[in-house]
Amino acid sequence: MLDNVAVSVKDLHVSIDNKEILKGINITFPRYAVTAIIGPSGSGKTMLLRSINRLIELIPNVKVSGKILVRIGDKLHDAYTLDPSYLRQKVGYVFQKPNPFPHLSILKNVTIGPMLNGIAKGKKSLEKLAEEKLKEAGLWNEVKDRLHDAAWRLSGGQQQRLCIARALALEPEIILFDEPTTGLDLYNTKRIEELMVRLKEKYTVIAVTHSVDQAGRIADFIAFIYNGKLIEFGPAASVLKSPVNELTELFITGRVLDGVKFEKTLG
Amino acid sequence: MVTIKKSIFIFLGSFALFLVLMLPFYFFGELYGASEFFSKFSFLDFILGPEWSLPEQRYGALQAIYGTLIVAGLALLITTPISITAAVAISEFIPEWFSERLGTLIDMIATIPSVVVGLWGILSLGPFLSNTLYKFLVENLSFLPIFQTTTLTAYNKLTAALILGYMITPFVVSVIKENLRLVPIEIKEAAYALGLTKWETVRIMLSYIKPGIFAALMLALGRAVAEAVAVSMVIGNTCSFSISLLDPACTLTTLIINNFVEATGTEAAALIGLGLVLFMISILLVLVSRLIYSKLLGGYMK
Amino acid sequence: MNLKKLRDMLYTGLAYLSLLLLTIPLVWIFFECIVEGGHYIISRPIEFFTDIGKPPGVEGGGIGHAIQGSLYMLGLALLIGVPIGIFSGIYMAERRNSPIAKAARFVSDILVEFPTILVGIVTYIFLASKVTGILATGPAAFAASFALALIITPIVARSVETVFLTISNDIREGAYALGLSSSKVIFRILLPAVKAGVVTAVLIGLAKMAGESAPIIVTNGISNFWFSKWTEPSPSIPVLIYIYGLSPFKEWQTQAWAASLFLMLLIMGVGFLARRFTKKLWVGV
Ligand SMILES: Nc1ncnc2c1ncn2[C@@H]1O[C@H](COP(=O)(O)OP(=O)(O)OP(=O)(O)O)[C@@H](O)[C@H]1O
Ligand SMILES: [Mg+2]
Repeated sequence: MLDNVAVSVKDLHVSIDNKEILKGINITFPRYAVTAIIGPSGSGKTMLLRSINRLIELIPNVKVSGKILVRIGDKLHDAYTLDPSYLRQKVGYVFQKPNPFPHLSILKNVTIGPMLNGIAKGKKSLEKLAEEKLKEAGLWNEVKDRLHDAAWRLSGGQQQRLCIARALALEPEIILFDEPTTGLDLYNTKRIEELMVRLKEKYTVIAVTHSVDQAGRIADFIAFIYNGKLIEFGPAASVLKSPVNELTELFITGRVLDGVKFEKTLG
Repeated sequence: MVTIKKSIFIFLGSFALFLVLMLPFYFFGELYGASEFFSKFSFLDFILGPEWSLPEQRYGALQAIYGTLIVAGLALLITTPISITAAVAISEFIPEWFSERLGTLIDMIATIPSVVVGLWGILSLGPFLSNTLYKFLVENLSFLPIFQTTTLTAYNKLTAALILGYMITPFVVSVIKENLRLVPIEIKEAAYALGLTKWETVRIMLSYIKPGIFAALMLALGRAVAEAVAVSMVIGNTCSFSISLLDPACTLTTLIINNFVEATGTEAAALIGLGLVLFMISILLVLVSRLIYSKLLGGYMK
Repeated sequence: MNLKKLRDMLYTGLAYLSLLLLTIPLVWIFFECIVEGGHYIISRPIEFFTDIGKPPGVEGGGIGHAIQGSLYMLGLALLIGVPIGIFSGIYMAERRNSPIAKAARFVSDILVEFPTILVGIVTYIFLASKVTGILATGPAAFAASFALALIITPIVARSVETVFLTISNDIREGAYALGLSSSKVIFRILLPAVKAGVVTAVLIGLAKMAGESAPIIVTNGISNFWFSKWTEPSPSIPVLIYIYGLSPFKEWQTQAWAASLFLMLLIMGVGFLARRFTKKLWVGV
């Protein structure tokens, strides 16, 4: 059973400026699977994701309590006692808006992580690594002739796949995606969805998505977050077909989309 | 009615036009003033002329150009690491309430008149350095040609460069600070998400604003080249090609400031010729700086 | 992993060191000014501001003549430079897309970085030089004022432009909608709305100009007597510091520190005023 755990979140509370954002979340993310986190805007999906790789600590006046265990190799580690730098190398993150280092070359974007973290050295081996990761991210064919172009010249969808390659280059165990297809066209959305599904062979994928349909297409498990709390968690099919909680049902059937309407519905 | 409405803009526009014409006016003023000299000597002979000597009526600019480039270049070398680390410290490492105060303090350096900096150089810093640092350099490192000197004085290229470096630093610090502020938060987050440390993240931010830093440094170099009074007070004012930093020198501006008012005839025209060289260096640096910066803005910074 | 932390700590240490390196000279300069110069001023609190300098070897003396000379020079320079700067600044903002405005913007960006000593030289050539100058006076105070005016013009123009650009278009359109002529809109509506900003622009220019010495030296030469005529050299505070600092006489050097203290306080005062104006009197536009 424990072998199947990639991330285990216990009683996670997060507050910013003394305002409670996450109110005691307990959830276990299974290994080598895609878990989609869904929920209305402002419910705390991004904050949950950022708690896992401790990117949340960049926010001023943030307080995090609870416990997060992260599998690295065959051991579970307490994320908040690990060196954050090491944790973040092992737990990759792909942002909502593609954010490659625009001034660096495509190649350098992929190699800079391993290079600065001292994981890989030497021009040849770095280039090999980059090729491998760009292939994995499904970008290689489009950029193999222009590896030394600056990254800002790529299209949005290409930039996002470059960001994925950049995260993969550190050989993470887990990859966190925060609505990675926002603002992309159908073609790029589809490619990235396929990619996420493919990645679960080697990595654990946790993806926040704003679209229930997308969750249905990619996820093995679905977690529904509402107002800083985990409302429902289970295999994708059962959550989508026969949700236990009334809120979940309202949300996935698209009848109510934001917090205000929820409150009203609840009377 | 329409003409009355427009006339105010003709009035205002004539002043703007005046402003536009100032630059060519300066250029032709320099040419005009130096014409007497260049009617006798060629410009190339002038800038390659190795010697500036009044008694022998020889007016070669090369020593002054050499002095200018060495001193200003050294000042730039001094200011670059200091201003970058200082800007990073202020904008990334120090708590906000304190960094604002520190920023104001550093801006204060820029408000010190150059003649006051020169006064400090001649009366305080120079004597202090010659008893400490320079003595040490001469006694221990004089196997290096740049630290060899026969008579150690307080007033030499190194003193001038240190003072110049100090004078241009606040400007560079403030430009780098401003540039760092403009780095999108997404870039920082991306770096942290890769497990990079604070300084590695800063390194990426610095590479992001590299064109901005270069542009600032070019402007700073221009300011160092153009500074006259403070340099003339501490450089020792003896033209030479000596490679030693501990030997005195002269620069384009120091020759002008020391001799211009009393100069007549060919000498005055030759001094204006030095001004022409200064003019070209300054304009070149400003244009290069603008070019670099607009490239940055045209690229990934939108 | 630990090596990484160590390196980070080293860099952080260097960063703080660079801040220290920057503050030491500043503190040192102020310290010398206050200790050396402050003492002199306190020992002769009136004489220092009203008297003329004494020859080396003679006790006492003040910088009254230099203060007076500076006031004259700066005054005339403001009188010439400020209107040109304001008018062209307004034009750059209100006709921002016209070719002249664009050119003026480009040129003034270059001019604010232009070596001030060259401005002095050109002014001297055209106005004061005995050979080529229109007035052929030789070194003279009015030439210094003209040079300073030319120096301050682009600074004021650029700041005034920025100030006018902060005015929202609603106000402009509202004013024009009342049927007012352009000159009324500009001088009766817009200028009063941003007058604090314009004052700030002038003060910033003044602060920069007040410390200038090179353009004065090449146009006006050196004088240590009372201001007499515009066509004669005049003393000024920065040039007095220059001569006294270069002199081998202890009394003069002390007075150079005292004059430096006074000049810096003056410039800081002007800068402080400028900031006050931006903060307090800015009529929210
Ligand atoms: N930097 C911040 N400072 C203060 N409050 C924040 C900050 N970031 C997020 N919040 C608050 O935390 C709550 C949860 O935000 P979060 O970004 O996790 O929502 P989300 O579920 O990801 O929403 P979306 O779908 O819009 O991305 C929101 O109420 C938001 O206002
Ligand atoms: Mg979000």
